[in-house]
Amino acid sequence: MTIVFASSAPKKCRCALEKLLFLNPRQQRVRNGILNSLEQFGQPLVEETGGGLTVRLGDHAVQNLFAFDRDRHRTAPVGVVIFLRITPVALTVIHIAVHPAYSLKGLNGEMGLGLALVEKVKEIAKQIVGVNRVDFFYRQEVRLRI
Amino acid sequence: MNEFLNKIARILELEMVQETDVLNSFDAWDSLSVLSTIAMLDVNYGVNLHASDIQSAKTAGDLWKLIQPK
Repeated sequence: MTIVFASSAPKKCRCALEKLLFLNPRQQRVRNGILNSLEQFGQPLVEETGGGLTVRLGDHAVQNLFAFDRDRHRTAPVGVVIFLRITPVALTVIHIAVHPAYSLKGLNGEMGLGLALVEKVKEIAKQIVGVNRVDFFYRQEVRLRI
Repeated sequence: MNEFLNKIARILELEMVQETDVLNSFDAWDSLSVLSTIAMLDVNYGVNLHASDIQSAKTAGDLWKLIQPK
């Protein structure tokens, strides 16, 4: 397993990306957080840009980070995190989704892809002046110091 | 330590957790729970741990040991 990250997904992966985002079996666990996020930011929409597919949340300037397993035969993303700078001091993760096989208890779960995606967001946050933590919209008590 | 175990139980949406309980045996022990644990330890115990530190803990008791002064 070799995980790599990118800011967009190949256009041919639309179905797999929609399945990852909208039909994830673990979503029920954070149902209230998802409902709150839909109310505040609207439904995530997969859209085509010049570089490939990205996920848009209404008019919000969200950033996407996709994870791919280079050793996998399929080119579809195995994880995605969508985040936004809501306040000057934090990046807030609005949505995060991981293919079940790459979740902490999945067949390829030894690294915990969800954790790896959050680590990447923390790395990005460290490079932004004034940002000192990463928050989770799904669980607002989760504030990670960087 | 009881208060600590109660906080872990709350993260796992359980009534209670024992010191010897294996974290991985809980259905709710996933990435979000690991991140919730990191945030809880920071807020309540002033310890800012990395996800890999948490993953090295097998039981709730191991987590407790992580935050004890060395």
